[in-house]
Amino acid sequence: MTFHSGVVLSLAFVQIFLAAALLAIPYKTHRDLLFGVPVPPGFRSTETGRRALNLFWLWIVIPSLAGLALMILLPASALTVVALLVTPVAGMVGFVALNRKLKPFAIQPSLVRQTTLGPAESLPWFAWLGLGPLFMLAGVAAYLHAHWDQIPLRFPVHFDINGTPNRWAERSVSGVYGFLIFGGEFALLLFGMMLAGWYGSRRSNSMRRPALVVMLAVESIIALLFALVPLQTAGGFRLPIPLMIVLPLVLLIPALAYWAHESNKPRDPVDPTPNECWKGGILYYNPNDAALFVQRRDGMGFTINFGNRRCWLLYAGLILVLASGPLVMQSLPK
Amino acid sequence: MAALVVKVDPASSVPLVRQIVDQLRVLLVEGTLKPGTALPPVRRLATDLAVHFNTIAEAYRQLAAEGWIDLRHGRGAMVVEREAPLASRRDIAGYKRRLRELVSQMRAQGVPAGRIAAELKEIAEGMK
Repeated sequence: MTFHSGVVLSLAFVQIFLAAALLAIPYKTHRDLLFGVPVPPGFRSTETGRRALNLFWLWIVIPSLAGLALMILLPASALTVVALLVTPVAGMVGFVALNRKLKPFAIQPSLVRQTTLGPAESLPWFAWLGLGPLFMLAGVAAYLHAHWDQIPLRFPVHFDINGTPNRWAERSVSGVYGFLIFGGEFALLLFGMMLAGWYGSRRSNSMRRPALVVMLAVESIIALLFALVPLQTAGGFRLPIPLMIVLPLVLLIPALAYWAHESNKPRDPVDPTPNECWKGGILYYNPNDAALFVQRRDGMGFTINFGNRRCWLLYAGLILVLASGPLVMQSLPK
Repeated sequence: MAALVVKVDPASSVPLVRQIVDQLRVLLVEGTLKPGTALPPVRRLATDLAVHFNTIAEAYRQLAAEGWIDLRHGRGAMVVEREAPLASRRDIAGYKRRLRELVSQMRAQGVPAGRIAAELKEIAEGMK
């Protein structure tokens, strides 16, 4: 198998995995919710409920097959990546369309809420492991500084779909440390989001702990990948591509398995947020709710409360990180 | 000992601030919340109860004005020792009127007078 056909095969696998994950959404969601709409018990087995579920299948399966066909017929083109986006975009549009369709059947979950005045809760100990990736990046920077003379004057840092280098860095401060700084910004943002997720969500939400674990895994993966690029160059070694794919999966799969195990347990009541504060069953806007993160209605964890002004701090951080990415890339000669 | 639970119902005709103040006052009068106990930070309680943080801040301010808690910047809300003030005759008349309304409601629902008296006695003595 050539490198190129391997990449196409991997992308096709990702496409199929995405489609399967999206198809599972209505079945993973709390039984009292359907496409983000709180419905009466047994609604799923009614004709309207069944029809909505069948329609969602069509929303996912047809674009996925079209995307797969595009990947096979037009391989190694920009359309391959576009094909990959078709399924999630169609899934989101389908979800919103069905949310609107089911809204007339919505019931308002009880808004009565209670809490205990117990002792102050502490952050789980493992959340502090989120500082590890930052220390790792700092450690790599220190290593590179100490071995500056061993770094080649010009080294590859980015590769095209065929595995051929297409971006090079020079042995300069921006060339060597740019990736580390970008990775550090990203890791810091994720660590901040971990803390915000813990302190900004309701204690009654049992998914706070799994959310921390997943964020920790994602932060570690990001930091690992950004640390490996300059480290390989300076160290004069190159990790095989399969290992670069397997390493993140080793961190991510257990975290996601824990998440899936903990999600949507029957004991958890639906977060009693007002129906009118949900837009399309996906976006939540409630300025009278102090929570920064609330339970999503599509069964996929948390979402931001856009009515909380503090959410803009997170978005500012995200924009800052995303804006500095192209800056790092532009500083690298083709 | 009563559970340290606070409940809010946005659909109720009673304002949210009053719902919270009333429940916290019960816990304070009964002695469930003892002097020296720290109340949850405003944002924590507001997040858990899905209300605006101003609602909790206002509830804490009202309890502080009644002398139940001490609000200090950076220290949060702390339950303090409180000397029971002397209720005026006018205050007592007001409470009596509210009690009468409540008792008549109970009687209208068929609760026997003896049971009402026993319940009132139990509640009042439990708050000593």
